[in-house]
Amino acid sequence: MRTDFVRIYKAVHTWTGILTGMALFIAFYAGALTVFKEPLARWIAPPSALQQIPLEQAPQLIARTLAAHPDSRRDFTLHLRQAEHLPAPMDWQTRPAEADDHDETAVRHFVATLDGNGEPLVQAHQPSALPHFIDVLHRVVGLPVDTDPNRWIMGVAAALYTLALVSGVVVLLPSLVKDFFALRLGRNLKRMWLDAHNVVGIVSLPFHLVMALTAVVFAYHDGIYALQDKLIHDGQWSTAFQRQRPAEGPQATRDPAEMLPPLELVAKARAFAPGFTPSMLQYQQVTGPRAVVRVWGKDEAAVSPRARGGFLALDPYTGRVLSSDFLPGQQSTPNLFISSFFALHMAAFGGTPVQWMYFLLGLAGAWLFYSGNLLWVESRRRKQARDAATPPPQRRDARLMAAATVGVCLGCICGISLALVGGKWLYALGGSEASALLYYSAFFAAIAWAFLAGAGRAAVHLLWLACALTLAIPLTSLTGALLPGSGLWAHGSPASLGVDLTALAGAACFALMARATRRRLCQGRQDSVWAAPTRQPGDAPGQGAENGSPV
Amino acid sequence: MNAYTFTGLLLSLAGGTAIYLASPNQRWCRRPLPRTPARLGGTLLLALGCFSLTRVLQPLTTSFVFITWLMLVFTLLPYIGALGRPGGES
Repeated sequence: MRTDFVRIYKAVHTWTGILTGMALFIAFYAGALTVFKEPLARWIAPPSALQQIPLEQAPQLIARTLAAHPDSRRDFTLHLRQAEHLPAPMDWQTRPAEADDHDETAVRHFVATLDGNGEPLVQAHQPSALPHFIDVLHRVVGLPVDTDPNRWIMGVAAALYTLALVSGVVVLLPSLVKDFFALRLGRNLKRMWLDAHNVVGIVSLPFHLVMALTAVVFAYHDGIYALQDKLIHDGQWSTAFQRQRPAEGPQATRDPAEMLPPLELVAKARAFAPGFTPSMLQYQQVTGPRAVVRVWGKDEAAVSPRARGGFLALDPYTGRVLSSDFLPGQQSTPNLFISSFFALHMAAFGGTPVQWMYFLLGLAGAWLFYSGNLLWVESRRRKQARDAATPPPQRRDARLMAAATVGVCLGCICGISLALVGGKWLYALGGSEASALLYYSAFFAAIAWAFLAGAGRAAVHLLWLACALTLAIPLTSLTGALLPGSGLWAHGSPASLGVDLTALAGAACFALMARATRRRLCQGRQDSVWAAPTRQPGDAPGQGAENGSPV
Repeated sequence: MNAYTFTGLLLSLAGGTAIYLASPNQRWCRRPLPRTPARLGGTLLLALGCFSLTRVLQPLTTSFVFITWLMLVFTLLPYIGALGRPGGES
């Protein structure tokens, strides 16, 4: 390949990477955690005082709750399992008609169970916003709310990311075979960061291509559907999915007490798909002519159309199968093709082992963007001449980029850990959760400190801070277990304990990284933005900033 | 985890490791393993691992799980080698 072509692709790769790298770090770090959204929700959920009921009593619960609360008839859920984040067997949500589909803050949640006398006990419930908040950070590259414009920004970032992947592969092609698996450590730091970047980028390229392309589609799917409807279907496509208008005159109202018992519906779903494990029943429009119950669940052997699995749609009054279009393992080829993109983005196949693989590949992806920035900085290092007494001042752009990289990336890590810990402590102290406030406080403080102290020093401080905040996650649980009177709590489920143990492992990693970075700061080369600031004779306090500190 | 899934992932890990150790860029051993036997053996282990996964997973799921696992294994192996034999300042 001609070298001038490679040079063009290299420039494209560099600039697309630099423009999107930090945003994508946030998307991948938060995305890796979002793989375990449910365990996070279980970890942070306070213990429920409501009692669970056997499934045999569910028909009574449904009939009485629907009679007492007509707003629940439109769409409610009956859970078939018990978990910390499900305080009662039945729940529903109400959302103002004018609210955006993605605006979770507008939603009001209610839960229902039966009391000791068999009467419905209904409560307003506020589930933790934190798992959703982390998911939003992932979806809109660190922006606070999931709105159309923010998703479009994510779409632009994902498109540039795709360009960066393709151009990166082209740049690497001439040496791909020779350097495959190469991770050379030594005095050539640029070579080391290049290898560290390339190993992840090349080996997990299919993963990244899927993430990039699906993210573009997720960002613009509303517009894509609208355009498709207008150009191909003459505007008839969207109307086909709208509910039929009810016929003139009074409508017959169906009695939910006549619905089949949930146990029977579950048995029908199991008989239809033996490998399918139902987890909840979602009832919709149960008093209307188009009543449907979606039996949601998972089949680890198959590809699921959504992160929470798939569903079989039944008539709740007769048990007749209405649709298996979204049932894992029983989808038609076109539906399976579409579902595969969702599944590949959201790890909705293969069960827990694949979730762990995605978690680690997500963290590796975050490292890919971080190392890309480090490589950019290292490529612009001004080296000290052999006969020079002092190291040369480093380039301003390299110092600023190093500080921004450290501040944004470590600020994101610190912010998420603080939001997790702070959410639990604030609840125990009687306050509100304040996930966004905690996250952005840590995030912007970290950025400010990185620019103030310089990348080298701030990296050490922020890594230790990330270590301390992440270690506080299991310590908070430990405090809850040892001192229940403190208002804190600890759950003993494997999912909840998994969060604590993963955080413990994460804290250990941050500690090791902090020690290594400290060693680099004190003992590494001085002609680098990562070296401790050198103070020249005559410098005023705070001016010793030739190398590391940009201020 | 299902026994077949566990076996499939374990065999694939062994196969991926054999292929990595046959690479001239591997950092686990002083010398790479003999190229042809190690690559053949690695490929055979990968095939057996894939076959074990097909015992419990549908073909499309098998391919997704297998490729995802290989990406992770081939990403981690060079880093484990580098951490085990550090050779320079970071």
